[in-house]
Amino acid sequence: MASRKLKITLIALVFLVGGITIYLLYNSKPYAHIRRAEATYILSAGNLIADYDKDEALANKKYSESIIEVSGRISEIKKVMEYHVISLYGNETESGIICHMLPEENSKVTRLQKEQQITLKGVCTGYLIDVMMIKCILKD
Amino acid sequence: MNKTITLILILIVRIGCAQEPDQYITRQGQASFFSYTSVENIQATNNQVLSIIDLSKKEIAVSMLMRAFVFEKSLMEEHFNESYIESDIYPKATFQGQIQDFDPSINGEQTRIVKGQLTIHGVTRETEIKTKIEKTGRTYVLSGDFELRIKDYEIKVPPILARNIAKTISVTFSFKYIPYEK
Repeated sequence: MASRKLKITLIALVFLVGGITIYLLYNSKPYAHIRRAEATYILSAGNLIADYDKDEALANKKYSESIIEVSGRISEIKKVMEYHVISLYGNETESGIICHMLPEENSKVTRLQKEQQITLKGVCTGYLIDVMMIKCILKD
Repeated sequence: MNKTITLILILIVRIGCAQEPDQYITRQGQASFFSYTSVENIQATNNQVLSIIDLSKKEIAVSMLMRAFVFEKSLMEEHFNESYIESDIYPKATFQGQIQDFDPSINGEQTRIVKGQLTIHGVTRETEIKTKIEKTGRTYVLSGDFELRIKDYEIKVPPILARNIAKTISVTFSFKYIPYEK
C-alpha cells in the first residue's frame, strides 16, 4: 500500500516538474539572453560589411546567428509598429546595417539622433543589400 | 538559386537608369505570417525585406532572410529556423514576378495580380498574389495578403506538433518603395 502511494506521488512529481519546465521554457522573457551574453565578435559597421562584400558565404558562416557588437554612425531611425529600426552607415558603398531594436529599448532610442556614433549588440541574420541584425540593444 | 536571384536583383537595378528612375526600392519592407489553430496562434514578423520594382518592365523582385522573422517566444523561433524552415540550408525566401496590367502613372490606388515564382525552403512554385498598389508622389506602396500551404513547400511538422501549426499559413506584406538613385 505504502509503495503504491509512493509510486503515485513520484509520478505526480515527475508530471509537475515536467509541466513547470515546459511552462518556463515557453514563457521565459524573450531574448533576455542577448543582454547577458558576451558578443562573439566586436567590430565596426564598415568592417562587418567589408567581410560580407568579400565573401558572403564565409561571412555567413562566421556571423550568422551570432551575437555581435557593432559600432557605427546612424543614417536613419524609423519606427515600425512597436519597434525601432536603426540603420548604420557602411563604407562608401551603398550597403549599410539595418538593426531591428528590441521594444524595451524604445525610450533609449528616442533620445538618439542621426549621425550619432553608437554601439549596439544583437543577432546577425545575414546579408541582402544591407547586413541585417535583429533583437538589438544599445550598449552604453 | 540564391546567387541567381541576387544577380537578377542586381540586373534589374543596373539596367536602364534614365532621368526619372525606373527602379524603386524598399530595404525595410514588412512581411508577417500567422498560423491559427485551436491550440495556439503563432505570429512572426520580418521588417527587413528587400524588394525592387522596375516600372518600365513591370517586374518585381523580393528577397528576405528567414532568420529575420521575429517571434513572440524564442522557442518558437528556434523551432521555425531549425526544424521547419531549416534556415541554415535555406537562408532566404525569394519572389520574382510580373505585375499584370500595371500602370505606374496612375496616382492613387490600383489592385493588380502579381504573377511569379515564390521560393521558400528551397521549393519554387508559381504563385499569383492579389496586390494593392498605391502611388503617392514619388512613392509606391504594395500591400496584400495570401495563403500558402506548408505542404507545398515541403515543410515538415512532427506529428506531436501537428495540432499546434496550421496547415495553411496566412501571409501579409506591405512594402513602401522609394526611387532608387545611385
